[in-house]
Amino acid sequence: MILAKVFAVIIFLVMFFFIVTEKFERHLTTLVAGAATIIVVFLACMHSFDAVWRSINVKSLFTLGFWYGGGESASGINWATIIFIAGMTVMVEGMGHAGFFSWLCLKIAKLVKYRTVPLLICFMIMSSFLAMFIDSITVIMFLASVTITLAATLKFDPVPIILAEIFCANLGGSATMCGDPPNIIIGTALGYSFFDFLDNTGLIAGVSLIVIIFYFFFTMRKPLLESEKDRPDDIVYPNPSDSITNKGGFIGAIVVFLIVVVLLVTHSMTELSVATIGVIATILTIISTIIAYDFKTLGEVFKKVDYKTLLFFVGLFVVVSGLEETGCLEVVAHFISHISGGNILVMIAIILWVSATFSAIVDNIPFAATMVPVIQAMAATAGVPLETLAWTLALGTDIGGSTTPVGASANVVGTSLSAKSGHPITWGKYCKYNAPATFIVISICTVMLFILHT
Amino acid sequence: MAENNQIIITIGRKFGSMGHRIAHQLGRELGMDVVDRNLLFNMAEQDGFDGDFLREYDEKPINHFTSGEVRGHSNSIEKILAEKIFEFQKDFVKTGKSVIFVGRCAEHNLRGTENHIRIFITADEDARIARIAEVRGLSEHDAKHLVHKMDKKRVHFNHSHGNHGWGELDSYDLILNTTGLDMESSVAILKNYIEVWKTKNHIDSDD
Repeated sequence: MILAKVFAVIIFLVMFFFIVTEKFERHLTTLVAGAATIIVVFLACMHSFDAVWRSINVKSLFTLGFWYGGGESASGINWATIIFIAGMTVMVEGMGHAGFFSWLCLKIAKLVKYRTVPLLICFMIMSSFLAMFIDSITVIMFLASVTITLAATLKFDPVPIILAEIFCANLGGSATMCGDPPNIIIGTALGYSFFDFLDNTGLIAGVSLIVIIFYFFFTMRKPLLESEKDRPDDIVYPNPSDSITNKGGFIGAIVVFLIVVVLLVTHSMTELSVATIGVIATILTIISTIIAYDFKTLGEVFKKVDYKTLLFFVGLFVVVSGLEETGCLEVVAHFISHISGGNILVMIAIILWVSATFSAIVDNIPFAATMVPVIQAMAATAGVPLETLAWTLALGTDIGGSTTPVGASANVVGTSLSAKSGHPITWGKYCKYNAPATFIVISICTVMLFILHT
Repeated sequence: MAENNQIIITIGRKFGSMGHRIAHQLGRELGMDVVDRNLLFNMAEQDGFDGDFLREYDEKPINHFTSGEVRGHSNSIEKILAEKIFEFQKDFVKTGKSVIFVGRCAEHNLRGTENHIRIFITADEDARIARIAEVRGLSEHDAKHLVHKMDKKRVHFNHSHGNHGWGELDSYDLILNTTGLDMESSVAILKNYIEVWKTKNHIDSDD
C-alpha cells in the first residue's frame, strides 16, 4: 500500500505541475494522469479492480438517486458535476448566440445613461448576480467584451471596470451551488442544495459584495470620472436591440434560463438532482434552438461547448480517487486536525486561508476536488460539522482565486480580452486592486464563519 | 495569396551578427520595404497599444507561470503582442509587395507562403561579442553576458511560438556567417543569392 500511496502522490504532483506549466492541454494532462492512476496505482500496486470501478463510478448513473431523490454522490468520477456543467454550458451558449448577454449589458448601460461610475456599480452587481447561476468564464467573456466596446465608444479606460467585474464574478460564483465549479463539486459530493449554499456562502458573499462595491467605488471612481470629462458630444451610442440576432431565439433563451433557475432554486423540494437539471437545460435549449433557428444553428451551439473542460474533470476525479483510495487524503485530514488541536476556529482559519492562498496561484478546481474527501475525513474524525468545513472550503477556493491574474479562469479571460483590445493588465496593476479586495473579503469570511458556525 | 512577382524574405538573426543592419541595407539595394520592430510597433500603436509595453514585451517568451489560457483566451501579454505582430506580418504579405521581415518568428509565421526566402544571419560568438562591445561601448565581460542573454531570449521566444527550428540548418534556404565579413560584403552575398533565386524561379525583377 505504501507503494500505491507514493505513486498516487507522484502522479498527482506531476499532473499539477503540467497543469500549471501548460506544457500540454490540461484535459490531456488529467486524462493521462487518470489512466496512470488506474494502471499503476489501482491495478499494478493495489491489484484492485474494485478500486477501478469505484473510481470510474459509472454504476451511479444507473441508480435512481443519481437523477432523483438527492443525497451524496459516491467517490470517483463525479458525473453529476460533469453532466450539470455540460447542460449549463449548452444553455449558456444558446443564450449567448441569441445575444442575451450583450443586450442585457447594453440595456443596463443605457439605463444609467452611460455614466461610468453607475456603470461600474451596475456591472459589478450584474457580474455577481449572473455568476450565481452561470459559470463566471461566460459572464466575464460577455461583460468584459461589452465593457471594452463601451470604453472605445465612450472613451474611458475599461481596465478598472473589468477588474471589478472579475472580482464580483468570482464572488457571486461562491454564493450558490451552481456558480463556480468548486461549489458544484462540493455540493454534489456532499449533497448540499442551492439554498444550503445560499443561506451560508450566499449570505457571506452578499455582505462581502456590499463592502466590495464601496471598495471599488472609492478606488476606481477617480480615473473613471476623469475620463467622462473628455467625452465627445457626438457619440453614437450602441443600441441594445441590435444585439438580438433572432427575436424568437432571444425569448426562448430567456424562458429556458428562467425555467432552469427555478429548477435550481427548488431542487431540494422537487428532489431533482443537478444532473437531471443539466439534462433538462440541454433538452430545452435544443427545442428552443430548433424552433427559433435550425439544426445548423444547433450544431454551432454544440460546437462551442467546452468538451475539453469536461474531459479535464473526468481525468481529475480519477486522480483524486487514487489519493482517496490509497488513504493519502486521510493523512492530510489527520495532519490538519492535529495541528488545529481539534479546535474548529483554527480549522476554519487553516482551510480558509490555505485554500485562498493556493487558489491564488494554482487552479482552484483540482484543489477543491482534492480537499472534499479531506474535509469529509476531518468531520468524521474530529467531530466538527461537515457543512462548516464545506462552506469554508467553498469560500476559500472561490474567492482566493481573485488575488492574481491566473488564480481563476474568469481572471484569465477578462485580462486576456482587455490585453487584446490594447489595454494589457500587468500583474502589478491587477494585484494592486484585486489582492487587497481579496484580503478584505477573506477577512470578512473568517469573521462571519466564526460567528455563524461556532 | 502572394502575387507572382512578390518575394517574401525573412531574416532570422543572432544578436551581434549585424542582421538588422544588413536587412535594412539589403532592402535599400533591392528596393524592398523592411518590416522591423519600429514599423510593427507603429502599427500596433495605431491599434491602441502602448509603445512602452511593446518595447518591454518585444520578443519576450511566454511565461507559463504568470499567465494562463482558458478556452483559447490567453492572458499572456507576451503572447498577445506577438500574435498582434504575426497578424501585421500576414497583412503585409496580403499587400502583394515584396518585403523583408526582420526576426519576430516571421519565418515560422509565414511558412508556406509563395516565393518565401528564409535567411539566417549568424557569426561566431567571439565575433559577436567583439562587435557588441564596440558598438555599445561595453567591456568584453558585459558584452559576453549580453550576447548570451539575448541568444537565450531569442531561442525561448521562438520556441514558445512554435518556431523550434530557429537557427537550425534545415529551417533556412541560406545561412550566412558574417565572421570576417563587413556589412557591404554580407549584403552583396545575399543580394547575389536573391538575384540568382529570382532567375531560377522565374521571378521578374522589381514588382
